[in-house]
Amino acid sequence: MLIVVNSDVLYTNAFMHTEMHKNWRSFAEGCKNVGATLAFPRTSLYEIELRQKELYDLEIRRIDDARKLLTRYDSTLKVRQAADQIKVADVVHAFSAQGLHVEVELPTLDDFRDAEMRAAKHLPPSPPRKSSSQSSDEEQSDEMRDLVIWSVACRLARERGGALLLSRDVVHSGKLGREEAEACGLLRASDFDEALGMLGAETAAGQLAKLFLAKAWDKIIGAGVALPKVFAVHTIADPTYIRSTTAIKVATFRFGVKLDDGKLLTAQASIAQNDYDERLYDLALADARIAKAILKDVTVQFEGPIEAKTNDDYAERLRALRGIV
Amino acid sequence: MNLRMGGQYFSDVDIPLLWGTRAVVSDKADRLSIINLEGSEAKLEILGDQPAADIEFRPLSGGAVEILDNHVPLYTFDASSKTLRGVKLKLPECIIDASGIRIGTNYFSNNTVVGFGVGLVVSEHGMGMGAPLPPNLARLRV
Repeated sequence: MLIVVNSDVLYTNAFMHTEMHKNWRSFAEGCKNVGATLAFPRTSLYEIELRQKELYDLEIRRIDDARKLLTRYDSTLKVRQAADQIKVADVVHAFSAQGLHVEVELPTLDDFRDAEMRAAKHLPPSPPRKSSSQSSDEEQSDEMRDLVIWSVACRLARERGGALLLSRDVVHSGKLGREEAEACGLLRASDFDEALGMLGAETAAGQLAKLFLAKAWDKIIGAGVALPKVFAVHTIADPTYIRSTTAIKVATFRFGVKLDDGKLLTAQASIAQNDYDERLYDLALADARIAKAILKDVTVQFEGPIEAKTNDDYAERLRALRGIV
Repeated sequence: MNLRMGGQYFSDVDIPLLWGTRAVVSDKADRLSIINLEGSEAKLEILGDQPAADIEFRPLSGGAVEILDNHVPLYTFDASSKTLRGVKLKLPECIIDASGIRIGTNYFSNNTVVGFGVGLVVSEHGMGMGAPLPPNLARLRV
């Protein structure tokens, strides 16, 4: 999966010296685990580089202030040397150094033309034209830049068979762009955790978790959890499984579901094969919450999604190993 | 045991390949099994290219699996490329193909190892061919 990164999710107030920011590093680790590629639209990268330069300049000023202060008190510390040893952080290199594949995507002429048209005609995802009584000064001044990033993200999603736009910007994450995003296979996440969860839902482990959830869906609704009637899982995180000689016997994962009102329900699912009937599974939902509201724990029983294999295959592989050891 | 694995011939060895504390063994159909020898009893983690019963795992894209311990990823195993890659286990990557065994940047091919506890031993600090059985490992038994 390709993740198109907007600058706002990498906005930071901390100067990055030798170590990458902790939350950036854990995001990079999560992306690496699912084989995701990061793509920085050049437009977005200009903003990221601008912020990194601001932080660098601030750090240099601080060092200079420190030098002046220490000089005033006759300190012999060589503070100037420290300033020579810091540099503007290279964000692309920082993510590459984590073992991630990183691309910088230049907008094409068509991307610019597309963004220009959207901005001028107030086409989605840009906000509709305001009434004549409102001054045009009230409009956001950076909407053209956002629209270029949107055009690049949609193009990449079409070219690569899907992508995920990671952005907090209202133009990128709002309702106005939903239809087009769905049509071109562009998923949208507004923070690192949501992005990793959405990537998790697309992995092999996430797909397996969704198979279990799909089978249990109606039972969960029947137990009083207000899930949407149509099965749709937004995020899957930390899925793990344990198998018996014939089937998956334990599955645990955290999942998120977008509710009809747009809020996100998250819960920890623990699924275990029934002790008495191996076709059945018991699902316990714990730590279920919608925003800060905590829901009651729920337990349901459902029929498993995958038919158990016979024991023959496992026994044959075990015999083959025992023949050697 | 006597077996051919990854282009080597191991004769009269207890463990052909020891990757950290994991014994790696190939069966006659060239399927790999990985057995954890930490502790007092051997524990089968991969059986014939697939996660063994009662082992915590996570399927990865492309057919590989990750083996975990209490939700902590230990290593990944890709059956199609016969590749072991450490996650928490800080061990060099190990690839066992038909003609050789690649450990980190080293490639072993067409060797015969006779009469050692371990044919090829891999640790965090290095690797060697023909070594005694390290102490405190469980007996290889499945």
